[in-house]
Amino acid sequence: MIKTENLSMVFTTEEVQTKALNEVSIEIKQGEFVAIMGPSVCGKSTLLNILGTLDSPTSGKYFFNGKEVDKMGENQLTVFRKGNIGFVFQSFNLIDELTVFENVELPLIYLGGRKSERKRKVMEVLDRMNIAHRAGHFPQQLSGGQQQRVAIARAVVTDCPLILADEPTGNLDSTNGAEVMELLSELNKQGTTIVMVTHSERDAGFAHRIIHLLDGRIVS
Amino acid sequence: MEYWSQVIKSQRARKSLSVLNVFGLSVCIGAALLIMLYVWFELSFDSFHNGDRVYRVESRLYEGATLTDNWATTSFGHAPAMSREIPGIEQYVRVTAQDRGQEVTFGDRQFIEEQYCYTEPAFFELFNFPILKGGKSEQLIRPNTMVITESAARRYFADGEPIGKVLAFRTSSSEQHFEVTGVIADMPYNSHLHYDFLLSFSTIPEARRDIWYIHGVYTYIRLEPGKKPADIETAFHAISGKYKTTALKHKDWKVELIHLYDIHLTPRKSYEKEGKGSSMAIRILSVMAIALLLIGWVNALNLTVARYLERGREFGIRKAFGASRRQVVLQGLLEAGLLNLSALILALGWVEVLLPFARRWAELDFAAGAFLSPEFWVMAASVFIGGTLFTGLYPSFLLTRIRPADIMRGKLLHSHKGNRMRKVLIVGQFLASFVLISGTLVVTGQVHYMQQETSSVSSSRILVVKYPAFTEGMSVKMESFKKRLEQIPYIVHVSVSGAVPGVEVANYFTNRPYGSDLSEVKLIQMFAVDYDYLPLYSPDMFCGRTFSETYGNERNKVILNEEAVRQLGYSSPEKALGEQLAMEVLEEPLEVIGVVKDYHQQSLAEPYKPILFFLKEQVPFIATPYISVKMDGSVNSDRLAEVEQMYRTYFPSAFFSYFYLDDYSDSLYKSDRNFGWIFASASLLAVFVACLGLWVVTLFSMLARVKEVGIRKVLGAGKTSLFIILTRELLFLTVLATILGLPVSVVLMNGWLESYAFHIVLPWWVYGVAFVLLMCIAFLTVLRQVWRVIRLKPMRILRNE
Repeated sequence: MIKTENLSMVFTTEEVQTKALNEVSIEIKQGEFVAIMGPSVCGKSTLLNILGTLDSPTSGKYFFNGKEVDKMGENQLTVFRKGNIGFVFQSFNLIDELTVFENVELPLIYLGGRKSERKRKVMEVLDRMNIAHRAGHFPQQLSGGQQQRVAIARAVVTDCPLILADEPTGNLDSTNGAEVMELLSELNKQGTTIVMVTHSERDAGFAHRIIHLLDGRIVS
Repeated sequence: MEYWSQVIKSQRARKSLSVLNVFGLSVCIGAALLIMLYVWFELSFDSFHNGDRVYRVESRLYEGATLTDNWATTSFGHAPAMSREIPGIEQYVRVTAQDRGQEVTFGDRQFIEEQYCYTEPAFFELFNFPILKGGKSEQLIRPNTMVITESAARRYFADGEPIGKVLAFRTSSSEQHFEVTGVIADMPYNSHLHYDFLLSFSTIPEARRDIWYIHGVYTYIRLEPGKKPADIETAFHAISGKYKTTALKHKDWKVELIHLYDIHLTPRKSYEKEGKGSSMAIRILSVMAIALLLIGWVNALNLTVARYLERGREFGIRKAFGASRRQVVLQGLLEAGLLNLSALILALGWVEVLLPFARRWAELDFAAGAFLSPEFWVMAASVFIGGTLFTGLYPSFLLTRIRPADIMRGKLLHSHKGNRMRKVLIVGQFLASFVLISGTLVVTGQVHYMQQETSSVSSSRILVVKYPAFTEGMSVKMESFKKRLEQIPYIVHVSVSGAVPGVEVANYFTNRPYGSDLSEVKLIQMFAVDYDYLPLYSPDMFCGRTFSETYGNERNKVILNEEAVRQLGYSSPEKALGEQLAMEVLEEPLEVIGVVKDYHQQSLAEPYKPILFFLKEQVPFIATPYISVKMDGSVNSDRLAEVEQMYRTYFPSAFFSYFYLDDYSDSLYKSDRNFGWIFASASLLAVFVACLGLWVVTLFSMLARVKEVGIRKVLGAGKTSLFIILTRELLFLTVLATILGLPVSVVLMNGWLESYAFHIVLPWWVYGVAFVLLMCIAFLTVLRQVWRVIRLKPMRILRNE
């Protein structure tokens, strides 16, 4: 499903050049649950962002289902992301001004479709995440665990085949963290490919395999 | 001291924002101060007199409930009779209403003077014009004496002594001599009276001093303390019957007392010479000044609130470490004070620089010595204090009411309350901008309409020469002069007349259908013309014909305008043809031979008035001060020189005075154009400052929404949908401002248009244009910032978060 060839990412400031990724080549198959681990500033999040097409590599190739993604323009990438990739962030990244329902509905709006259909899907996924009773609330009225469940609901509402999770339990206590991991694991079992960046060995234990990064290179 | 250093540090921290804030506010305060100075000048007319109990008596003639004649003057007889028979009048003075220039000569110095009048010694009791030379009690007593102004003295005597000198005054029909007995300071700009020569009233032959049949004097009275003007008005109505001339027998004759301080801003009446102000314009300008101040303050408040939100953490820490509510408010007020003081100082600079331009442009020496007057500084101090409280109190209280922990968590930046306040402020600014933009379009439309209605293609080809002063054999010389001019190939017509387009005809005489009852008399303006006037100006004929020598002597023929036909009671213009009229000063009847369509003799501010054209020889005592010379092309300097040379051949001792009809017509609408310019400038300023505010608010609002944009992009939002999301609020606010501004503008502009007898119908497209313009300006202002945020890579945004 995902294949990268010699992906490199260089950040340049006025004085220094930092190589965040150094010729990274990986392959992830459909239905896999992969954890990316490594110390801070090793390039984990950069790799995840490139896989999510939120950032473009300085060099190298990135194929998604055989299609070369790194050559796409901004508009093509926007279209590509819709319905293909869902995101879960450490800091949830919910829009404070929108209700839980509206936050989850957002990707469906961008995907297009009838309002009644959208409503059905949102309520269904909120039910699955056990948060439907909070549909009319604003994110700031929820606990961290609840907010992350909303974020996951938003990621899966379009039935996308790939979920990218950037330290999804980083801001949660252990009980809520475990709950979130259970949810992701459950999604994976239902066929969703999951790529997760984490510091936590315990969370990584949910994955089928672990990619270790150090100074922008894969070490194991 | 500790506070001040903190205030200055906080300003330094965001230097460019502080500069922007001060600049925007200073522009608004400067413009508002300029407008306020102008309004103050207009309101200050005649306030330098001790005129609390001084009124001008004005004549009002009614037929039933209809006001048929509305004159600023009274007859000569009013003042003595009222003073004699109505208790409560302490003193009166009469000032004659002169309407023609005189040639004034002293030795080899000769000028045409129009600023003169005959008046009584009490002039110096009722008015406060300081006498510089000569005793106050000796002035204007003897016949043929006069008081002149300083500048008139300089004009004739340079640095020589004026007292005792004798000047010759000549009209086309008379010559008089006056001895200078006193010199007064020039009458100030903010005086409704502007005379250079005050001639003694006793010079007028005794038999004509108290007559009732000519409404030829302005009458001023001072009432006894406690006496009400309405009492005098009622009392005059009661005695008016016994003084009515035949002409007024069937009219209801009243007077109205206009307070001296109100004369300048009341609507113009017949026989009023001075340029008048408009109370509606003053009201609109005052609203404009307040709107500009509010826009500036709102802007500053917006910026301050935005900065406070940004600095919420700093205030949170201050509060956490024990700063009291009072200390936080005090710091807020000091910051606002510093901002307002800097803006005020800069604004005074703007005023100092722009005032001379404004004066030249308005051709008015308003606000002279404003910086020295305590009133100005009170005004400036009020602006400073008002601004400091307006921009300092709300943000400070906003911060004191919120818990430190909330402030530090950044809740304030995203709070609904803060957002709502910003929206209200933007709507306020847009509302003011909308009213000003639509107002500019309405004023421009009205001025354009008036100019188009009164301009004629031929007016650029007409030169108007003033009639020469008295010389021997005048009528023969004038005929020869006319004939010689007409022989010049490029001259088409030459005409002598009592008025030209733009000039009030006045000379109201009573007329009635011949043989009808005396109660049928109507007051109609008598327009003295020669055979060439109507062919020269060619007003549209409704029916009948113009004067023509081919029909022999036409002295007993007249031509009416439609309004005169209506007033005289003829059922149609055609019906009036061939009818005979009885005019008050003539024995034999006059026959109507033609009717011209109603046209604008004066500016469009004036309604149509009844006009009767007659050949000037029929009533020789009605003056004909204008000689119109129409050419086959534009009047150039060579042609002017040739006309002048011809004039000097026939009238060697006369003063050659002339004007271009084009310039004269143009000058009719000068004050309207000025008003339009003020509107346009204020609109530009308002829009500019509102944009400044919008730009800064957008800057902060984009900061607050950048995370949302990132999330939306990650979830697949395209550029167009993001643009719509980020700007739809702006669209909503503009629509809201338009909806709220519409009734305000309609009321104000309709009120202004109503002050014109002829005006455009308030055009609704103006509001569409104003809305679209405002919309475009608003979008252009925010476009760059919105676009920048939309183009950010989503992960860059979320990483920064």
